[in-house]
Amino acid sequence: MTNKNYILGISAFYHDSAAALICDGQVLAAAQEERFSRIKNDSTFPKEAIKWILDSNHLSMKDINAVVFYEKPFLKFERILSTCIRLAPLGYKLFKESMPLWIKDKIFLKKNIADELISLSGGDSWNNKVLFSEHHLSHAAAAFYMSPFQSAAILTIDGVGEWATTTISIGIDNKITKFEEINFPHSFGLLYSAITAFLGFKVNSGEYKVMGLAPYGKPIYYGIIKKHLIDIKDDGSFCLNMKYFRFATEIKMFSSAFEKIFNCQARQPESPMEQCHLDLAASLQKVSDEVFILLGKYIKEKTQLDHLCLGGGVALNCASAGALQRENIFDRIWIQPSAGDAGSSLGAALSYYFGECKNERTKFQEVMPFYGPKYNDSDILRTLTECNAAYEYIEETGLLKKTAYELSKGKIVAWMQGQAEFSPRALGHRSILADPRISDLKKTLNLKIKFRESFRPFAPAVLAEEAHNWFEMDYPSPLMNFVCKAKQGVNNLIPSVIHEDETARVQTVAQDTNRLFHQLLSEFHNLTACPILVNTSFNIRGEPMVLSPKDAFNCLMNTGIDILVIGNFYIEREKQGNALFEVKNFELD
Amino acid sequence: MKTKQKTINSVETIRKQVLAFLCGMCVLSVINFINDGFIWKALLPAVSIAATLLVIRPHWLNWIVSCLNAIHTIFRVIYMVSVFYVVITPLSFIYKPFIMAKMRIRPSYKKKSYWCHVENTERNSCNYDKQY
Repeated sequence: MTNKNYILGISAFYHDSAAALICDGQVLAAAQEERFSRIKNDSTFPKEAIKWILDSNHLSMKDINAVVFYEKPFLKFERILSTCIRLAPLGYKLFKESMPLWIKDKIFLKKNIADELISLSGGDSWNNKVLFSEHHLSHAAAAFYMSPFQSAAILTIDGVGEWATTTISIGIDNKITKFEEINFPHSFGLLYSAITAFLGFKVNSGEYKVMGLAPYGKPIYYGIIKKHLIDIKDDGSFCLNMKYFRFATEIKMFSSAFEKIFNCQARQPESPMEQCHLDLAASLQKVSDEVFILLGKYIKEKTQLDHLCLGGGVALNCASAGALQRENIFDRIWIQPSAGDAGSSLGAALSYYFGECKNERTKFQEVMPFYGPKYNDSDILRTLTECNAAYEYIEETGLLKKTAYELSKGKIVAWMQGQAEFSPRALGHRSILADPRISDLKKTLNLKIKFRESFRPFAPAVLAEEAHNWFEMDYPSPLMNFVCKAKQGVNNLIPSVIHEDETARVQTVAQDTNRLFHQLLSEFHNLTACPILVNTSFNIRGEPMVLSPKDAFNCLMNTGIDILVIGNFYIEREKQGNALFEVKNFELD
Repeated sequence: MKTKQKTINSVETIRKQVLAFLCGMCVLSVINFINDGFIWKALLPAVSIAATLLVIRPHWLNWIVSCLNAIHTIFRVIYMVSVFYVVITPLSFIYKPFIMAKMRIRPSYKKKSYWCHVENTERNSCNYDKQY
C-alpha cells in the first residue's frame, strides 16, 4: 500500500466502456475496452483496460483508494420507471425489454462491479469502495478539470444520463456548480440519434457520419425540424415533440410520422443515399449550429466567464463547435477530446478527487490525451518476429526523412508511435497518413484502405505555426475539435482534406505537445512546401483503432496501406512475402 | 478404431447398468408407495420412472426442455403484461399528475425557456456513496 491517492474511474454497461486511473489528481492512464477486446463500442466491464492500467503502473487493486462509476444506476432506473408510468399504457415494449435486464443485473451494479474487481485482484480483498458520480457531472468534470482554465463555464450535452440531457455549470478551481439543466426526454443528442437512425446509421456510433454527410446536402428541412421536431427558445433551451419520437416507449428512435413530415423514406442500412437524406443531414447540422450558438450566448450572458468547456457526446460535433468558435463569444473554448461516455471514466475519478475530496488544482495546462498503452522496441520486435515480417530498423532522423519522402511520392503510411490516444480521434499516435495534394486520394482511402462510405471526409494535420496560412483560424486546435474554413485558393492545393463546403476539421500539431509528429510534418513541409498531411484513424471499418503492434501489422496486411512505421521499425507491405497474419473482413458499422 | 469400439462398448455397459438400477428403483418405489400410500412417496417412483425413461429415450429431454422453455416464456409474457398493465398503468393514473410536470412530452410555445433551474444544494451535490 502506498501513500499516494489512486482513484480508478470506470464507465461501462451502456456503450464505450473505459477505465482511467488518476494519482493525486494527475492522469496516469486511461483506455477504452474496445481497443483490447477489438469489439467496436464494447460496453462490457472494462476488465482488460483495468488490467493493463494496473500492470503498467505496477499496482494491484489493494493500492486503489476508490473506484468511481460514471453514473448513478438507481436514478437511471427511476427515470426508466417514471417514463413507463408517465407514458402508460404505451411503453410496454420498453418495459418488457428493459425491466428484466434491470431487475436481474443492473440494479445490483455495485455488487457486480465489486465482484469483477475482486476477480481482477486474484480473489484478494481490497477496500471495496465503489462510489458513484452523476453522469453529467462526470462529463463536466472530464471537460473542466482537464482544461487549461482555472475558471470556466461548462456545457455538457449528450443523449441522456440519469435525467439530465443538457447541463450548464460553472467551474472555479476545484469546484463545479451546476445551475441549469434540461431533462429527459428532451435531448438534443437523442434528436441527433433519431435522425442518425433514420439515415440508416447505427445509433451511438454513426452520429459522426451524419455530420460528415451534411455538407453534401441543402438545409431545406431546417424549418420543418424546428416546426415539428424541436422547439428551440432564444436562450438555447429546447423541447422535443414526442409525437415524432419513440425512444421513450420502445427500443426505436423515431415514429412513422417522421417519414411523413419529411416526405422521405427512412434509409435502410447500406442502401443508396437519396438527396432527401443528404438534405436532412444538412438541415440537422444547421439546427445543431444554431443550438450551439444560442447556448453559447446564453451561457456567456449568465456566467460572464471568458472560457467555455464542452463535454458530452454532442460536443464531438466539431462543425457546430467550429460555428460557436467563429462567433467569438468566448475567448477560448476547450472540448474534452474524449467527450463521450468513455471520457466519463476520467471525469468520474476527477470529480471525486477534486469535487468531493476538495483537493487543490495545481496544473492548468493543456495535455494531449496520450494515456493508452505504449510498446517498446522489444515488444515490437517480438511481434514482428512472430509474424515473420520483413522490416528495417532505422534511427529517428533517417526514419522521418524516409517516411516523409515516401509520403511525398503518394504512399499511404500507417504511423504508430508512443502511447495510444484516449479519444475517438487519431492525433498522430495511431494514424494513417497520406499526401493531401493528391486529388483522388479520398476515394482510394475510403474504398481501398478504410473500406467505408465514399462520402466520408478526411482531416488535415497541419504544423501549428503554418495553420493560419492555410485555414481561417486564429486559435490552436491540437485535439481536432473544430471545423474551420479553408483559405481561398487552398482547395486546389490540398483537395483531399477539404470538404464539400470548403471546410476542414483541422489538427494543429505543435512541437512541444506532439514532437515526433511535428517533426514528420516538418520533413514533409521541407520536401513539398506543404505543411499538411491527411490524418485518419488507424483502423478499418467496423474495427476500433489499432492498439498493439500485432493489430497494426494485421491492419497493414489486410488493407492497401503501403508502409507501416511502428516506433523505429519500418515495414513495407510489398516485402511481406512470407508474413503470417490474420485475414480479416471488415464489418459494417 | 479398436479404441473407439472399446469406448462405445463400455458406455453401453454403463448405460445398461444404470438402466437396471433405475428399473429396480421403479419397482421398489412403486411397491413402497402401494404399501404406505402416502402421497409424497409418489415422488420417488415418479422421479425413478422419469429417469428410466430418459435413459431409454434421451432425446425426450430436448422435448421436455422445449416444453419448459415454452411454459417459461408464456409465464414471463403473462407476468410482464400483468405487471405492466395491472400495476404500472393504474399507477400512472395516480402518479401521472406529479410526473407530468417533470416530464413534458409536447413543446409549450407560451413558455419562454425550458431550462430547469438547479438551486437546491441537495440536488446540486453528488453523494458518491449512494447509487441515487
